[in-house]
Amino acid sequence: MVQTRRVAAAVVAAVAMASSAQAISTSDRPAAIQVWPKVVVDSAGRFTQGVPVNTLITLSNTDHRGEKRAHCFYTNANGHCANNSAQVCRSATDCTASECTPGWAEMDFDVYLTLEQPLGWYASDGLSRGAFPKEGPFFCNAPLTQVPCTTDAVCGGLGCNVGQSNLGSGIPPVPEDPFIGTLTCIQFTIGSQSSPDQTVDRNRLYGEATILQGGPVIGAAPLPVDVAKYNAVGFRGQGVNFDPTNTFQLGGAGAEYDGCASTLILSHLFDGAIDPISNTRPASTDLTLVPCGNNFSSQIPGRTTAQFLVFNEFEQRFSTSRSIDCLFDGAISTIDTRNTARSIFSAGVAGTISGQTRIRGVGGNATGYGLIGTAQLSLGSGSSAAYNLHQQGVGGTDFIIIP
Amino acid sequence: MRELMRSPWLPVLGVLLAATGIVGVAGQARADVTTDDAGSIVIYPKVVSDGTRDTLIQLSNRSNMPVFVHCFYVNTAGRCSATTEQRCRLDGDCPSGESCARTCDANDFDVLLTAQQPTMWRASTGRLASLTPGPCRIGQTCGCSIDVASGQQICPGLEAAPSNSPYTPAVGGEFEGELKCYQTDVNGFPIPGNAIKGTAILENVSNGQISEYNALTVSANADPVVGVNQGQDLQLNYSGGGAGEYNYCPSNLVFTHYGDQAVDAFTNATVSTEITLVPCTELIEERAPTPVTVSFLGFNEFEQRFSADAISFDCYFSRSLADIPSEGQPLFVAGAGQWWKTRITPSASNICLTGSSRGLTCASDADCPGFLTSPENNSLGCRPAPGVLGVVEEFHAIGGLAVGTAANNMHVEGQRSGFGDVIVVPSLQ
Repeated sequence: MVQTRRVAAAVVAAVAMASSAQAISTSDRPAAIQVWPKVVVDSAGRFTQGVPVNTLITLSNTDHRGEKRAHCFYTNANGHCANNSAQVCRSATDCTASECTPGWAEMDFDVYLTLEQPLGWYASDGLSRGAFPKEGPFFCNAPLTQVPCTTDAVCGGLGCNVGQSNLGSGIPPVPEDPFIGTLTCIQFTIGSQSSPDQTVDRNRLYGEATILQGGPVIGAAPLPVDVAKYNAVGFRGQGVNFDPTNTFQLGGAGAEYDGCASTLILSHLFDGAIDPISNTRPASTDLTLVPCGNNFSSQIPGRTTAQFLVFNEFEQRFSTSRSIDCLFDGAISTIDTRNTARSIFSAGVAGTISGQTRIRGVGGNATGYGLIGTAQLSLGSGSSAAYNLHQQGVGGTDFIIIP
Repeated sequence: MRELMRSPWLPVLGVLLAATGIVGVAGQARADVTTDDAGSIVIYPKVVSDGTRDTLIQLSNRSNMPVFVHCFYVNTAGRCSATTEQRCRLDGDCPSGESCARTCDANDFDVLLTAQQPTMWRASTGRLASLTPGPCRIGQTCGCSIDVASGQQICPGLEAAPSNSPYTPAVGGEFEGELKCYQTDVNGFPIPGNAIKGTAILENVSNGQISEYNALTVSANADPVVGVNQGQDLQLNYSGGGAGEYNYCPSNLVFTHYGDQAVDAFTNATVSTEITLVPCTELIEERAPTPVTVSFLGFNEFEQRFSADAISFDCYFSRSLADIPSEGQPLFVAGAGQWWKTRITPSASNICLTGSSRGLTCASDADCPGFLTSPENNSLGCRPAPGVLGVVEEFHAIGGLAVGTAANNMHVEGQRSGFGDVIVVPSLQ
């Protein structure tokens, strides 16, 4: 249905799209939509051997002229035990005599960024009113420029010169702890609650995530710290906005935003390979994949099938596939089997230390089949590094539908 | 002219590949300097092998054809100007009155990658082509060993090079600099294949902390008439349409970071940030260091704005925020704001790339006495100040003890124009 109502728009947009038909997502340029594929919070370390985990999110405005508004969505991808909906699980082994039921829920909020402003917050805490850097007090318009104000009432009819501020922002903490999920922020125009920003200043946001582990523990010695950082994945606006305005088309004819890549490429060390520098520590790579499209309006997550084509140094090729339902996060050697030593992603099977894996989304539901992701390499325990995936080629059409 | 250390067996192998019909190039033309996709030039801005840290380089071919790659390390490790046995990174590391003199020495080598082949090597040791050990097996340890004779690392995998020859060279234990590679045909001439990409893992050999970033790639214009030619000047002057060889470097770099010496509220670690920049212009054939001038413009979350202008360096810049704009005089500090967004912009002035006024602003070549000319007759005199590319790395410490590191790629804005930049590669001999 979504595709059908886009036909007319596609014809109108064909000329405008001519120069940008090859555009795909980016992790190194400011854009209008930013997606953080991996946001984790686990303050008690339930899924990390007792080591507390948090994610520091940064979101910045590169516009040197104006304030920008981002409408954001946390996607909660926690599973819950079938016999205890209060218990968060990642697999059935986390539950007592029940399955782990996959979950998906969105929570939205607004962030206002002043010109050139960087903002940072911990996913566990968010930022509430009073914690934003530019919330006032402000000052009345001339000649009462020394009179502090937060509303017009104290300015005797001259008005309170609020200027650019973070007023209107409110970033909630993630809804559960532990938490795993994603964050999506879409640039909107300041004056309208419903218009995505497709003006000349439309691609002004970028973001990073820092996954932090360890640190102080109440009543115990501090735990070793580990830090891993990646760039959010951006989709640049094309300068067009078709009805319905709550449906954003990524890629394809009539695209309002860059599309997803047809193929993601992960450079990695095979799981279990010994790090060539320390010569002692085994490598393990966690891969996070999420669909490009989501229906936040009807709370239907993107679903797709990821096909993996794995190459070792001998040019030998292995393949597998896996359903990506809302979010996949796990060691690459768990993608195809529970016996990690037998995985095509394990060094013992692949035969070499380094590998290259091509990942392609196929099938999918009404919101498309594109994928985005990030990776986190661990060498032994307590030492990891996150990095962005490479990509190749223009994918299909994906949709983000917001309430 | 300098000698190119090109492996003599490569042409032979190329003939064999051509005979079987598997030599092919010419990828799609794009217009990016990016960390997301493959390109025809790949740049690792930060490679360290100094005894404390080492670097694992990963390089991959994302095409279904074999690719030939020519690489050069640029070593910028510093030594004190008079006390030459003393290593340094800043003038302050040297005895009073001395400066830290960085070199800009290039060392080149070739790599052949088969279709879709990934490869990796440890910078300090390089990697030796060897038929042993064989492929790893289930239940066995899968690691590398050191060849006693050469000191190079031997790893399971395919090194497309004669056995017992260096697949990649060792940089040793006194290296800080960059690695640049470009795609060539079998004879060593640059081609617009857009097939290579890479990542680098920086590892502290003492505490094991690692950082990883994606190498930057520059796409090439595959147009056979107005695109990449076989000359030694790799010109970064392509905007995605019309004439030009490789894509322009960006106008600005921008990144968000903790204020210097900020304390992370979750881990209680104190954070310092190191900025590493390399020039887009590289004068390898001329053995000349590239003069660079950039400005830093930072905004914190309170909309305060600080700038550091006219920061100049040769070849390579890798400095903690604590030493920007100058040693021990940080500008982007935590006291003013926990978060900073900093934009780095190359100088808008023309400067002398070579000659006796190297690095000084100029109006024409006449202001650059003794300037050089490139093999393709491009003046290396009065030119736009070179563009820059870079990477950011955070160092987290508790009680002065390093506890964590993390690198990420900077964001890029815009595109340069006009002459752009040029990488002058060694001649084929």
